[in-house]
Amino acid sequence: MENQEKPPEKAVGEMHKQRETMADGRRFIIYYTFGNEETELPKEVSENV
Amino acid sequence: MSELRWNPLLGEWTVTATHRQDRTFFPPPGYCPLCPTAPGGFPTEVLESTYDIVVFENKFPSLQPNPPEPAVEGSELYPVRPAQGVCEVVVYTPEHNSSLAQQPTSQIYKLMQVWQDRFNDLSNHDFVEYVFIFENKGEAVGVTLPHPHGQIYAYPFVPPRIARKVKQCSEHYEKTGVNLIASILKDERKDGRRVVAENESFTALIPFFARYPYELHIYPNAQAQALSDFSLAELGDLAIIFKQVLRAFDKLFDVSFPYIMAMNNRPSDGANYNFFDFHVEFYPPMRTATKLKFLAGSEAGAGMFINDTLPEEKAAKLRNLVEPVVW
Repeated sequence: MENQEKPPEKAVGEMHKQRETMADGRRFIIYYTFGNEETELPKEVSENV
Repeated sequence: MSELRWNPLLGEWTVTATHRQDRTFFPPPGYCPLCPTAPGGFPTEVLESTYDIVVFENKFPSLQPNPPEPAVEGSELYPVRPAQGVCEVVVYTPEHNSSLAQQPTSQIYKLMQVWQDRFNDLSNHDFVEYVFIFENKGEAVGVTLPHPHGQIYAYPFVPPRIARKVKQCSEHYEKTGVNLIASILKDERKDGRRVVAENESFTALIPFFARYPYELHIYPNAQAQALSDFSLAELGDLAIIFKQVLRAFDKLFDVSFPYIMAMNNRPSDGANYNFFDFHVEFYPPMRTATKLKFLAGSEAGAGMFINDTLPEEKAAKLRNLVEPVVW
């Protein structure tokens, strides 16, 4: 289609993911954030992807 | 109680998961389990608020990584097995009153990357043979939590509809030396009447054989078996075409258009699937602004779909609503 730009890879930035155990102690949750610098989240494990 | 029970009549498994009867059903305002937990508020599934997209294991899973032993004893006629697998919830945005169609294209692009990551991750489990990414959207398809989200089921076998497609693709390749999706795409693009949108990497169309009035498929323009095969630029093109068709859907009847979205990747069982191509299918239940298509006698009882509309006409209608996207 006309007038379509390519994805703003630099604007969206790299994907980061932080995996944690949920409050019930048995399931996991993964928080995904995007940015050119690693997002600081107040948890112990942060995995760059 | 959760187990897989074999259906000898159809040659397929049924998941029996009685605990799902207790799952959250239209919670009152302020008690959505998919919203980020507000300070001092009701503790939801998502304790943090600093994220773009969040994925967690379903509280009421049909399949579990460490499932209980079957509660019933199997037999030669009725084999049973543990319901092993993974069921994940993918929350598209912290915003409650929204939809995937209303998200900026950049957010859909992020979702594509998350889906790719989940596909790669879940495919690595030794007990997983198929990773199925899907979305149920709208009360018309049975959604009980309106917060924008999708799901992923990682099955311990290739589910029957996928297995049937794999067989068709394999037989077509054996006969012609060409992938079936590539053959369909070539035919549809040559005809042109059912094409709804296209870009460098993907084509969206209502196929010749559509079972629902607005059944829409997205095919890759070049061979690709799974999300894992796509570059970031291609994921960007996939995000663009998603945004275009979802917005066109919403504009059709000026409603937040309900649908089932099924993403078909190759199986994750380690076999060679060069003859199979990635594709996405949307099954919207609406046939007019006020009427739904129900799976009735012929569809539910015989597996024989009757589409009382012409794909060529519906594709033209949708195509006229497709607009360029803004990032």
